[in-house]
Amino acid sequence: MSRDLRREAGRILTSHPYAGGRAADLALVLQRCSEARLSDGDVVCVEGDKGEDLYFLVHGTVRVLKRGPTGEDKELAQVAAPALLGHMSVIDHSARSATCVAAGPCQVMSLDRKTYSLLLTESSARGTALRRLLLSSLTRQLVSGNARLQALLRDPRVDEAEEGSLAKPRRQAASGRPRGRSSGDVEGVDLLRTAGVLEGWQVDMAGIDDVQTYEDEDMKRSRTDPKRR
Amino acid sequence: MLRPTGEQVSEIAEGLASLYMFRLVERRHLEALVERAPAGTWFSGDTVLREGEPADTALLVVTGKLVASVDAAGERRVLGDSKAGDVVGETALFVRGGRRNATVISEGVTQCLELSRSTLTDAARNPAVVALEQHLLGTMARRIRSTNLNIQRAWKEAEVARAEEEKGARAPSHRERLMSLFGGGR
Repeated sequence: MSRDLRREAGRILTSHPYAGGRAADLALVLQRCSEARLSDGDVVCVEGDKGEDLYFLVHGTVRVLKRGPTGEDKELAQVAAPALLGHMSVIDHSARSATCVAAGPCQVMSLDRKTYSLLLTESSARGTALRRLLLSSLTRQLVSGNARLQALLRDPRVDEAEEGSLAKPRRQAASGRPRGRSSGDVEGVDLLRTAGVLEGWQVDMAGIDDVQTYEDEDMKRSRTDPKRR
Repeated sequence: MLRPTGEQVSEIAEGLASLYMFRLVERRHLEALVERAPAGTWFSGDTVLREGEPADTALLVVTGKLVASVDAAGERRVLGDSKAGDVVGETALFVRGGRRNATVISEGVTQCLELSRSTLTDAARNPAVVALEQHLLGTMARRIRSTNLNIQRAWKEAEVARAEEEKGARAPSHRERLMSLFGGGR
């Protein structure tokens, strides 16, 4: 295994830590990925497409675009490496919720669904590494989303934040906080930023359509078939 | 909570074998999981998890039913229930330092496996743990989408609600229905 892969795995673990995570194990997952070097404007994935790959963005930045009601793409966020992209679609077979486009030179490692499914069922170190990485990432999204939902429901100041944040993208001051906004507004922006799959992204909620919940056949049977339970 | 005797391990493993997630897992692996993740039995009305307490384990419901509720201004508000095959408090397995965000009560006799981080780490190669982790991925993805949906609806409806408030009486918004569920309010 190359030292480069282990280094990339270590960087991913730094931003997506999980208990017992070892770079050497995650590097075994990266070893099964296809590597692509992208130029500015190259497309990583397209909104509405079936999710056939999950991506490890190991270098560079991607722009996240969402199609608006008028059909034109609107930038929701920019995501910098190291980051996981497109994993929700691969996990639950849902359509891509946004388009990702390289913002300058990028290096992406993609894991196709077939390999993902294979690794997912393995009891090997690499199988465990992939599952734990994804579980850890999803857990953070869930905890963050739940906390923010409760904050949204309990904090009346959030109403004050909605007016501006829904209408247009935000500019951030050097401190990372939105410029010239109240504390309630900051809370509102944080809510958006931590809305589950959009964790860590600065987003404009107006561009987001409702996400349909999805159950694949396994999930459905597991939930509804009493003989299977 | 009662701990099972050695003789009961096989019986609990049989309960696990009937769960969909473990349909392809051999009985011996399920028994190995039961030995590492001890089962507990709670009776009707027993408090299984308490809101605000440190969270370091999750529960896999084998048989029975658990009901989760939160304290909202002195009142108990029921959030939902968990039945056989559901995992309760799973975030504790992957994020340290969390606290229970709901109180969970047993409805009738409920048997659960208690899962800890060390259970998953020590038995990482057990096919039963592999199956459990796959199941958790699907469960969490579903919950995240549901949370996102609620956040988006609440956010969007706020604008409409504000406009309607100016006009007078109106039906409760999705946000307000959620507020009543979580105990929020102005």
